[in-house]
Amino acid sequence: MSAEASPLLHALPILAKQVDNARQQSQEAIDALSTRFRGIVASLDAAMAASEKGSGDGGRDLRTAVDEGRTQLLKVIEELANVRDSRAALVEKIRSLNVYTVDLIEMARDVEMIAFKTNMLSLNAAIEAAHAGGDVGRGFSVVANEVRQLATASRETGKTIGVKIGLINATLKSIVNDSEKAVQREASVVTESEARIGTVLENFGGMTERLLKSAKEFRGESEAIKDEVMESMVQLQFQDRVGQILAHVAQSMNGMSVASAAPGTEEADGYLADLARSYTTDEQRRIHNGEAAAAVVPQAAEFF
Amino acid sequence: MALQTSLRAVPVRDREDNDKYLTFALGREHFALNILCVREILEYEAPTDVPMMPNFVRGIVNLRGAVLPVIDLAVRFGRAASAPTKKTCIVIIETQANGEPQVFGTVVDSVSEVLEIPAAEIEAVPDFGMSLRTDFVQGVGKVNNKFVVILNVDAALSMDEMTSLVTRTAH
Repeated sequence: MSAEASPLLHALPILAKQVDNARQQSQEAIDALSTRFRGIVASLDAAMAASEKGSGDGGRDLRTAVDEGRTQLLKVIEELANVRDSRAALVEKIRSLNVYTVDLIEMARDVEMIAFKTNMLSLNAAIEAAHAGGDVGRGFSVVANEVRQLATASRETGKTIGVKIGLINATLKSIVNDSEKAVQREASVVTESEARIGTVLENFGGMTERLLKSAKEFRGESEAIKDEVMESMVQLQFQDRVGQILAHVAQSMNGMSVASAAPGTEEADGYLADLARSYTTDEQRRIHNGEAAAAVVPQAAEFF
Repeated sequence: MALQTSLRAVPVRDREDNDKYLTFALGREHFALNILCVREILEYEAPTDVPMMPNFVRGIVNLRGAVLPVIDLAVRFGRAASAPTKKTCIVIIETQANGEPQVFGTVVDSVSEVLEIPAAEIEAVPDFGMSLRTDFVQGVGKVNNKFVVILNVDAALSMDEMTSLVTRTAH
């Protein structure tokens, strides 16, 4: 055993401890980093699930609600239009009564005309009676007078009928006027309501679309971030490999310090053979045989 | 025709029961005629125009074959002629002139009724306040506390006077 080799022999176990310490520290840091990444992925998953629920099925619900609202409101407008139409029909019916009242006015005039003619007839009869003179004339004049009174009564009745029909006509006209105004008002209300409901539904529809679009964008972004994080976690697998290598290096350093104490011995050869056997990675074996380390091919990570 | 014959046979003015009057309207004024002067009342039909007649003559009508002149009483009395309405009538009147009966149609705005006005209810023509020539008026009758001017048709529709007016108009 040479005296020069002695400090190296002493240094090897210390270096091995340092390497092991560095390995442990980086292992802990990488483990903590992985845990964080898993947490981030879980949070993203939860957020995406929530967003999916809010804008996926929820989006469909919103669309359905808007469509249903449209259907219901259109029904309301339809009802309004029906009311307007039935009122218009009523106005038309009342207006058709006008024809009858015109006829009735004509008939009342006829009654008056007949009364007038009857009156004239009675006056002529009275004249004839006066010319006849005597008892015959007196009897005849009584009849003539009765006829005249009937004619007067008829004329009064005719006038009253005319007045009443005039009143009815005026009332009907005012009803028709009022109803026509109401019909016009209702028509404009229907049109306005249609326009307003259309605007509201359009706004709702636009909002829904925007909401769904932003939710989709959010999900897309989240998915991309998640993919990035997962990729990073796969990359972190290097620690496993590096840890194994460093652990082996530390162990080997310890072994080496023992073998160095008696080189060329059976013990030393056994050490190198043990070293070659104990490699766990291809790159270790390549390096041992003096080859270059190939690119690391990480295996897919498993996450919990 | 039978009536006409009987009228001619019996001079109506001499009868005792001559207290019945036909009332009629000219514009807003009401007049009465003794009913024995009235032959009949006709619904108004526009008379046939006759040229060169004074303005109070509306024209002529054909009454069952007899041609009668139609006098507008309102114009004869100096009032404005009124447009015919559905109440306008032609009253056929018989007057006496020189013992001869004369028959006219007269246009009135409306006929009202046949009234009995006893002689006691008829007052003499007042000296003033009448809007009508006093000789056209026989008297003023009281009917239901209202006064009605009873016409003297013989004077109001004197054929002689009207003929002279026609002659004067023609000249």
